[in-house]
Amino acid sequence: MKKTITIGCIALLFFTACRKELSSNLILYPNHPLNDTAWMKNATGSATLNELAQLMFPNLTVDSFNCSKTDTLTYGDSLSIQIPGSSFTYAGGGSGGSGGGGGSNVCSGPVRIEFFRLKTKGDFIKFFKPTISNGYLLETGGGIFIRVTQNGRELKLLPGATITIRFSDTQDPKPNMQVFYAAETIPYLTQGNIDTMHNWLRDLDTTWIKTWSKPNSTNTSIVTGYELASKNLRWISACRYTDSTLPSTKITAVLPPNFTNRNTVVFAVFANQKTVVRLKDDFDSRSFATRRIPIGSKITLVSISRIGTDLYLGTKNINDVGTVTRYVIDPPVQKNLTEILQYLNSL
Amino acid sequence: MSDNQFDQFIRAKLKDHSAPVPPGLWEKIKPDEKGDRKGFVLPRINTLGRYMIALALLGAFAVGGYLYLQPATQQPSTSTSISATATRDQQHAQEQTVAGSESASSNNNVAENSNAIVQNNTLHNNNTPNESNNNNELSLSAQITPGNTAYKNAQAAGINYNSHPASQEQASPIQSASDDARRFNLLAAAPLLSDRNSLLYDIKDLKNLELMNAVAHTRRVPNMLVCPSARGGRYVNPDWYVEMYASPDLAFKSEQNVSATPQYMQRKDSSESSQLGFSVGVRLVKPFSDNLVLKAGLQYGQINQQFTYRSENEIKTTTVITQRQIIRGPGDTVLVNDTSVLRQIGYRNNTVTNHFRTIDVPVTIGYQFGRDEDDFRVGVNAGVIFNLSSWYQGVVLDKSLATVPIDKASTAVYKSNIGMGLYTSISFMKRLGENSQLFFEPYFRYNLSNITADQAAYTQKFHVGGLSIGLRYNLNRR
Repeated sequence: MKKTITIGCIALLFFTACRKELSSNLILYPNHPLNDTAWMKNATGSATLNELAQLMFPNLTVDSFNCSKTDTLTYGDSLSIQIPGSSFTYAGGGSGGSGGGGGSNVCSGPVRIEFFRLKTKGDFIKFFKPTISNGYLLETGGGIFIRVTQNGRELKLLPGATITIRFSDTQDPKPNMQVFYAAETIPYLTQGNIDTMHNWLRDLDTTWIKTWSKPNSTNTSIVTGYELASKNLRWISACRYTDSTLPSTKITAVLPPNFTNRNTVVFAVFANQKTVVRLKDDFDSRSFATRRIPIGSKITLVSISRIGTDLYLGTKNINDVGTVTRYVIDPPVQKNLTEILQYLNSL
Repeated sequence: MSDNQFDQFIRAKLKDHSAPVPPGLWEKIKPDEKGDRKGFVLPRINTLGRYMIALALLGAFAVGGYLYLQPATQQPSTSTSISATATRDQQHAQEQTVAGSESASSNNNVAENSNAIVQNNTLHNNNTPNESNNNNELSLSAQITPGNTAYKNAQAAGINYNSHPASQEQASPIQSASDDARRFNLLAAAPLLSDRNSLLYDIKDLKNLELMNAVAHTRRVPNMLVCPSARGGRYVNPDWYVEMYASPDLAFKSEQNVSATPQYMQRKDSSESSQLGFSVGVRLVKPFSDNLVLKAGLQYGQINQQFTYRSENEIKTTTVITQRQIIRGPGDTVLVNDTSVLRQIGYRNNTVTNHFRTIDVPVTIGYQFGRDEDDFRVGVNAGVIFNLSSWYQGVVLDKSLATVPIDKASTAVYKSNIGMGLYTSISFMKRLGENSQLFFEPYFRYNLSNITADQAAYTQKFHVGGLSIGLRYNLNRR
């Protein structure tokens, strides 16, 4: 009896002395984007992705000229645009505006020109313009976005009119480049949304784009580039098809559950050529995939995500595509916008 | 045949008859020497015989000390006179007289039954009226007086009685035919009848007899005998006790706003809740008497306080395995498992336990009802608690209502010494053994000072109630 009492007292002492740190369970925020791991059947209209596109909206170069006269707009050694006179009309039809035109369809007078360059592979990612034409891979020498407006109304080139664009390239100019135009389902600057149905279409004129080289203005280096004649405004690029006869495969990228098709885009960036491919989201397998990646290619998978107000950047280097076609992207790291843009510019 | 003839016949037949000792008789009387094992906490006596011996020894020493220290004018009591006299003066003790006649004995009827012995300390004074001591505990004792039936029976049983001349004061040892017969003489009919109706005992056997009387005596008197001191008879309890105890405690908080905002106090109150704490300690107990005790010691106390707060934007990372069915091409489907990390965001209701710890010196005075030998006693205690050191560990709210940790060294909010407190309790003590007691002591501690520092935005006190459970052990181990 004494023993029982003694043991009981000791047990009571231990019970009271025991330090009990109570566990605390995480209570999830019900509507927080990070907790939303659901995929959408069709993520085209994802507000998050559109917000991501708007974040990467470039700084436009804005200028003006008199569209009634032939003019050449030169911007250093890297870009010049030769515009023939009286070659614009309103994109939506109708007569000329305040600049005159005498009620004809030809615009005249001063107009506003806005443009930005697609120089690097990162630019094609920032503007969500992967180098794909009807599912086939393109190698690009660069591109440009040109928009001409008058009194707030967008203009287009008259049929048969051609503007000549000379832009430099960061790499040596490739032969057999052709003019491609982007088929837009969503006008980029008007709505600011990602055109997930973007597709590059080759100009009916399939002649090779001229290349050029000249000393820079300080005679310190040689600048090379392309000179292309465009019959359209907006998205214009110099591209060529890659060899589609090479053996290719489908690659699949897998991300952690937090990164869904509603908040993430994934691109495959080729290391040795200016080719950027977007991996489309696959709802069934909760993954991102693309086809026609040449076996043996050296690529980098880049994922950009926006969850709530946070941006994430994920990468995966693949030195030899083909042996494994499913790649797990390392958990994306939260980055700020500047860091992400710097990374994209370095590609 | 007349009665006289019958008596003579029986006497003649039984003249040389000796009665055998019943088997097992001595084993019943002899103390059990086995089973001297130790208890769990304290050594204990687990057999009745050993317990009786211990009590008898204690009683004998106590009675001896009592008689030795008592003034000469004090009349010895009938129950202690034998041992006291035997201890002090064996020569006097050897002179025992038995009431010489039926008319002089006040207990002749009992003596007739041969189950009582009349023992009177004559102290050389045959004129002292004899007092009969009906000692029923000694079942084998007998009153033997010349001429009565018991005496005659004893003689018939071969019991030797030595006659002494009236002038002879020194008793002669009993001459018996055998040891058994001698023991029987001692226990059954030891007194020796002299010509002056005196009975003389063998000294050695007399001590045994006295010891047995002491055993019986200590059953009736407190095992802690109250021996008057030689210096005026005032009793001073020589015992010292040590108490070891532990207590589950519950703290009661009282606070007052000084310069904090109402929102702060509201958040603080809603965040804090009292939890079970504990205290452990050891203290010395000095009884001044059977009832009045002084206690002082050292104790450690810990007040636990549950602090709940909400932390926002907590990220929880979980490793998950995701199974996917990937179509690599027409008719080429693979099922793959991927280990990845799921991150979730939310808030946590964090619960931490704050600890307010103290080291104190309690000093109390208590009054214990009942006597020390009682199996169960109740006492009341009151006193003060002096704080030696105090410190706080946990988290507190800062002015912006954010939680900040506070460690032992910090004195910005809480003091390192909370001063003095008042203490009151009720003790319930249950004797476990001769030297140990189990006690339960519900108590309440009222701290006089705030635990908060002067610069704190609020004042706060803790008052503690608890139930001390402990063991009291007699350092003067008997």
